[in-house]
Amino acid sequence: MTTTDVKKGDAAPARRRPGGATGASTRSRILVTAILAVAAVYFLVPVYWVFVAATKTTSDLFDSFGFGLGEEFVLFTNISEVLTYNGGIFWRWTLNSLLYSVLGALLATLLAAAAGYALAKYDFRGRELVFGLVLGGVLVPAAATALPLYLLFSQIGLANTYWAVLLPSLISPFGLYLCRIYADASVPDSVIESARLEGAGEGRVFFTLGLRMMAPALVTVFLFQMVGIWNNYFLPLVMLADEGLYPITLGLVTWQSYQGRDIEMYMRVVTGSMLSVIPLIIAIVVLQRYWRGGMTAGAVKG
Amino acid sequence: MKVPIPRPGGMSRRGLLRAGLTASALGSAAALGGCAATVGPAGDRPLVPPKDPDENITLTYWTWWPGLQAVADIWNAEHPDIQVRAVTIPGGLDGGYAKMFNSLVAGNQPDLAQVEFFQIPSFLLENGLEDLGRYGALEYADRYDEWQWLQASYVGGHYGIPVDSGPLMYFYRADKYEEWGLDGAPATWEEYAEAARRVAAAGDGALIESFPVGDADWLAGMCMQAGARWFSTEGGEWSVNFVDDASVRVAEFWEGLVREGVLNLTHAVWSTGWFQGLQQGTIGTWTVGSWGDAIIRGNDPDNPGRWKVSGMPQWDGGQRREGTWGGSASAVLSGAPHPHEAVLFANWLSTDQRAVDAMITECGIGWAASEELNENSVRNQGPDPYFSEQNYTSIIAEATEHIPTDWEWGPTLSSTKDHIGDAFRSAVAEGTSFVDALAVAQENTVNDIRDKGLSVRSAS
Repeated sequence: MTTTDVKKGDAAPARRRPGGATGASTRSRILVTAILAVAAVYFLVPVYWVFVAATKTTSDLFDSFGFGLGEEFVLFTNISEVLTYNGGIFWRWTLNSLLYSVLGALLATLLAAAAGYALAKYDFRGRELVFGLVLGGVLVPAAATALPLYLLFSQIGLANTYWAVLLPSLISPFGLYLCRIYADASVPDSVIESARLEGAGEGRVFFTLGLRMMAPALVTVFLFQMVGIWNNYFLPLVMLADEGLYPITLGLVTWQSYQGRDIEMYMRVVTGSMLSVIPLIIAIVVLQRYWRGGMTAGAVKG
Repeated sequence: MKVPIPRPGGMSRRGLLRAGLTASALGSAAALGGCAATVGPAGDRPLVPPKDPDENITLTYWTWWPGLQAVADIWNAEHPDIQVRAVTIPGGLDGGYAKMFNSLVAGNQPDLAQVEFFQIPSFLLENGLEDLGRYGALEYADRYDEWQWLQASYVGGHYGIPVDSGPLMYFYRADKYEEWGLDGAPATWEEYAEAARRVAAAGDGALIESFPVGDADWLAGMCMQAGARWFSTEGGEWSVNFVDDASVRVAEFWEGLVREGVLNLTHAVWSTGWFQGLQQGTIGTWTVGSWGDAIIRGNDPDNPGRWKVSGMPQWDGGQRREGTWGGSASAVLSGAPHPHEAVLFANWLSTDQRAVDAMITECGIGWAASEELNENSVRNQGPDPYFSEQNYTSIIAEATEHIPTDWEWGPTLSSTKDHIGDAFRSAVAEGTSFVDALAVAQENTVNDIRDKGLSVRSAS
């Protein structure tokens, strides 16, 4: 603590010494903020477009300025159209997406936490090999494994079931990596030692102490995994052949494929896309407090 | 004559459509799962017997029409022993075909799948389709228009039951044409060029049509109409010819108009600006499959009487020729357990008037499988107020009588489409020759086919 203070005290005057240095740092701060602002606009404009477009009629969609409102405001008509079209199947897709992403991300986080904790805190032979293999897994894109997984699942009779999408979603190499790094940095060996001395079993140490101390990293892993599963398209495409099991992504693409025959599909796809980002926005807004805390904590300790 | 005959050449199906299996998806199936036993060449597989009379089965049909289940329910009510379940999957090139190929490898294939005409040879290359001729399909051939039926016939086999297709039609804004001083739809391409120049000179910012840069389906339809045959199978090999006289003529014609600046290159077909242009009359024409009517109506539903439809402008004073754009068939994927029953249902779907009517209302299909079915359909209600009181159905019916029956698709069409798209986009962007673009696409296509292990040559 004291050392840090001294360092800060030293650093501050040193930076001010050359003339105009403060100006430079302000300038760089402006630059960074500007870059971030541009990035934010870049990411938010399509979202904004989707929200505005979802309020329009089909002919307004094509005939009015893309970023302004159309002549009529039919958001609620469009939403009820999406929710009732084809027997209300959009509800089913939403529930499926929630099931795949929330349950999948929860279990994936738990697995990643347990494995990361074990790799960080237990010394065993082949530890680095396991870790290296998992790191290698980060490099393999999920799409590349979808087809082999499909063949495997077909052989054991699990293709075209909820398990077909859920089971592969439970593995998060990136999450495991992050959890190991984080457990290394934030779960002190001394705490584990004293817990053991108090007579706590390994499982109890992990569940009561380890998990809690790793919480910020777990939120990050959970969010990443949830967004990843929510947006996954290729795995469900390959695995599922039953609209009743589709997540929203796959469902919306089937609607989009039909646009050439039924122009009203444009509105259903746009409005459906708008609805499908809302759960993600909610999840990010609710969890971002923990998330931000987590990232900073990791940075300081690191 | 509506019964398909084996095409001349007498070549083996195996030589044309099956080769290099080790390099294909099915080859890896054998390696991965050993489940390729059911997937041999169609003619070599043992015939699957019809089901027992008192056996109840369910057929699965993969389609990209969300409304197909409602149509199948009409059948289901009358056939308790053969129930049909429609599953909506993404459209073919949006992932649907990849899914079908994967299902063949894994042995999870559906009984029936919707396959576009252009994709049939690509499936044959992987031995992915049953020869429906072995399961009674040929008995029904005379219920279909020949130009549609033959789109699913290759080297003596028959691989699909046509569901719908898209005769290429000329849709135009009759109200604007009048303002521009044009006397209706042009009868010849020469008149079309004149009309394009006149619209561009009118000074109201309008142009006759958006040029579909790089759209291979459109280009193929145009070349078909001009008398081209891009693919043929002769003497045991594929022959690829994108630069015959007819195709060169088409390419030079459109290149000339593009260079003159009398076509809209700013608003690509299907872009919002293009939809807007059709509404406002700044784009006056759309040449597209007959299914385009749904888009035109849907884009501007409140203004009937602006549009008219006509057959395509013609090349010479000679014999009238038309083309097609789009269309799909019900196909039976190799190894599916109930091909007999699948053919029964597929034929019912395409030729029962109730099914056709239900597909029109529930699925918005294009042109149904025969002229008669279309004329008796719910869509044919005489003069159509939206199309300026024209009798829309009879105009298309008349055009279909002039569609060539000898057009075939190649075995690597999805990449051929990419080659054409790439070549024409760069020709338009860099101002190079459209004929050269065709030649490049041909060369790449020949290489693709050769890479599949098939014998192939450039015809010119």
